[in-house]
Amino acid sequence: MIARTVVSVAVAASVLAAAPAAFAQDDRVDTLGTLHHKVYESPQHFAIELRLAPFFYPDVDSDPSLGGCTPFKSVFGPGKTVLLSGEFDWQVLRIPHVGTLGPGVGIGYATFSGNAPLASAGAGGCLTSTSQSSGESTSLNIYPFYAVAVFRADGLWKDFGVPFIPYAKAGLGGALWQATNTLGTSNFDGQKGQGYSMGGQLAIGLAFNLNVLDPYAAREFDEQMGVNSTSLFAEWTDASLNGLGFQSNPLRVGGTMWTFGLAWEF
Amino acid sequence: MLFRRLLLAFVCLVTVGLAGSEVHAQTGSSSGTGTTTGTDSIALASGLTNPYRFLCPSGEVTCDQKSQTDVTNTPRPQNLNPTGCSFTDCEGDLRLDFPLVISGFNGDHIEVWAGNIDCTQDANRNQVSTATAHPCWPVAGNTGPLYAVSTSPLSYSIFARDVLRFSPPPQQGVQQLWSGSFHNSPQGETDACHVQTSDAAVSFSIYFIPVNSAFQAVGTAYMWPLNTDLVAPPPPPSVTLQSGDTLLSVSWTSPGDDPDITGFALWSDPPAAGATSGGCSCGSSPGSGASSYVGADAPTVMADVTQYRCIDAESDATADGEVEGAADAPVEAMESGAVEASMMEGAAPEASMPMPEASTDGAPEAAASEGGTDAAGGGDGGVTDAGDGGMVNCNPINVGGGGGSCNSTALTGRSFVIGGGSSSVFTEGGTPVYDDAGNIISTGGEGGEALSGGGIAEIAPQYKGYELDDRVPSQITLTGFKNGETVAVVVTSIDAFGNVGPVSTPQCGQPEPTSDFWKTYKGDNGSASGCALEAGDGSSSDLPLLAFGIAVTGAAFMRRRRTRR
Repeated sequence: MIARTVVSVAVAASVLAAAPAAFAQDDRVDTLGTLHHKVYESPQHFAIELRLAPFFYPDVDSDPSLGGCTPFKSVFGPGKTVLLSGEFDWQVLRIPHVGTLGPGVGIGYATFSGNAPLASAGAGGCLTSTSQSSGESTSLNIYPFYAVAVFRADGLWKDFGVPFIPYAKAGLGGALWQATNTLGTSNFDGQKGQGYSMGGQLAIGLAFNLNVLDPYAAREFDEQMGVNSTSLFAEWTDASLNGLGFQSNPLRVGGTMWTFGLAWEF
Repeated sequence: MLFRRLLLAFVCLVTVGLAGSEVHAQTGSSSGTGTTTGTDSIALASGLTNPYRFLCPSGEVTCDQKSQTDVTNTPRPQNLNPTGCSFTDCEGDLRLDFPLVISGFNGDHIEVWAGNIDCTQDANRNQVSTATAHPCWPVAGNTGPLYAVSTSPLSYSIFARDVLRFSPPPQQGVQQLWSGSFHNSPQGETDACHVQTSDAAVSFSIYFIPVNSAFQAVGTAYMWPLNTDLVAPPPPPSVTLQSGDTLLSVSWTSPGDDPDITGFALWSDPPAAGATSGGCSCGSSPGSGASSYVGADAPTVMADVTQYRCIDAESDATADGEVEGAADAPVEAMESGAVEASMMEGAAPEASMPMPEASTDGAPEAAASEGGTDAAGGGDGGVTDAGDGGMVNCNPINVGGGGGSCNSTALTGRSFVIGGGSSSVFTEGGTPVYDDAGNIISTGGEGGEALSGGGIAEIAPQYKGYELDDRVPSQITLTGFKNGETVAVVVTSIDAFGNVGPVSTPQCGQPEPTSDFWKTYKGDNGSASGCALEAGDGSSSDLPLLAFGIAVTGAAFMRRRRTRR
């Protein structure tokens, strides 16, 4: 409880502390220009990302209490799935010739499904060592969310037109999850198979600014829609939902993954 | 006589002037068609678009008219041809009561015929020569001469079995006659309800034809179309079961591109407590009693399952969604317009004409023997089990086999397959099959000519686990069984009249405990707790606090921003 309160206060404090600089930036943003942006450029305060993590596989089986059993792998197999997500960033602070800094939030969805194996005790005390598939479905639905601080080093782009923009994110992550079967939410000894897990969220990535490919179209897009840049990005994400010290027994539905997507700054 | 006719015509004109507009307005919206021009008019009574419907009590294939129940207000759902005639309607000796308002009548009497061509053409009703067959057949007795016309409705009772008695086909030198006792006889049930040799719907029209004393049509007849279908499509050729925790997952293959198929029904013995289809859960599903695990929580959303008339009325009370049977009170005798008087305003019983049935006058047809067709029909069935009341075996669960094929008399005890079948043959007798010359080529002991397995099954509704209103096979999960018990499952096709086709080869399965992900995780001593623990770890109750923190942060920031401005 104390840990959660501390986290909330910390988030609030960081945002409030960064705000004055951000508004100071507002006044100057219209006059900002780069070597390649001598013409009009609309103000830039936000970014959104459409994200796709095609090789998502949660760390459920890393739970130490499982004693080496791998229930997730046994039920759903080793196959990875796609995690779809979206992110919204507020570029509160612009550091001249360096980049932007601000908070961002994201939500996503991933699901694993298969046929539940018939109940049987396998070798090594793990229920799922030997199993035969039944006609009953089972699934694990995961809804990740996170709140992070985002730093985008777009100084090279702004000043020199280099279209590569490295960035980093760090903050709190979490996920709602629900284990279901054919009849609905699964249940074990009165414990429903649903809850949430918390942890940390780290990411580093590299974006490629597509404006460089067609500057004219990019300017048109900016003038008409206010979109300053469109980027493709690749990101390595570590969503370690291990409780982060204040949640003792989370279902480890996070993991590390590669994420790809499109980002728009506006 | 001439003066009397003229006087009658004058009275009619006055009557029509007062009430005719309403009648004609009604005619325009009726399912049938009547006179809109000319000097005479026959139409359903004002306010009606269809005749009244009466059925024998459930489970009775023969009953007298008095014991029929009024199902006018409890028809099948709109997607199941509620004004048509299905197999169960035929078995229930469906009676259609037409309250007809006749005005401007200038014929001698009215005849009622059925056919799928224009029966108002005299040639289609009367045999021209011994080498010519008449394609229409009478479906009611003639009225006596109509000497007077009243605005009070003249009620005609038409039994569906008389209309459906289209087999044998019109034969050379043989005229199919109407008999007042045909419909309410075991032979009538056989000869009318088991004669369809295709699973496609068949349309007839019932004609109320004013004729003169020479039996020639005069004026304009009233026609009411009757769509019928007495045979359902064949069953899926393959049904597969997969066991789950207190459930069985059922999948099946399509019986083919049969346009008559509108859906499928799943039946199980013992009955399922519920079913799920994708995200839809139907019925309640009790938890497992045999599993070491606690059964999953099942939503209790009831499916929009259409049920049909139960064969065993007493055992149908628990069938969900069933169209409740007709009003309990039997219909009083229709003589002298008693029913009309209770249904329509201004229908003076004393003014109604005698019922057609009660007036089997001495028309020329009456001279012919009604045994003309019956002598040729009959088949070789209808002997042994027909007398058991036609009940399915609703009580004992007779399931054999521990997997794969098995049988359940509750599911297969009463059905017939056109052309015979390996699993079930209707035991009430067959219908002879004729060649073009009218010769019997089969006694029809198994229902007539082959139709790739189409037919009818009658299964007590409580065994229905799910009904899929889609002609594309799917995967349905029947729930609520006990782990370890043997369950027999069959699948039937359903057509647009609600006819239930023959059952598929019964399959047996045994629900077994399973380990879904959550059970497996917990069984492997996974430490996550889920939602049941309200305090601390992983509880959803912590989420609002986190959301509150984020919201406060955002609000504070926005407030600071406005302050600066």
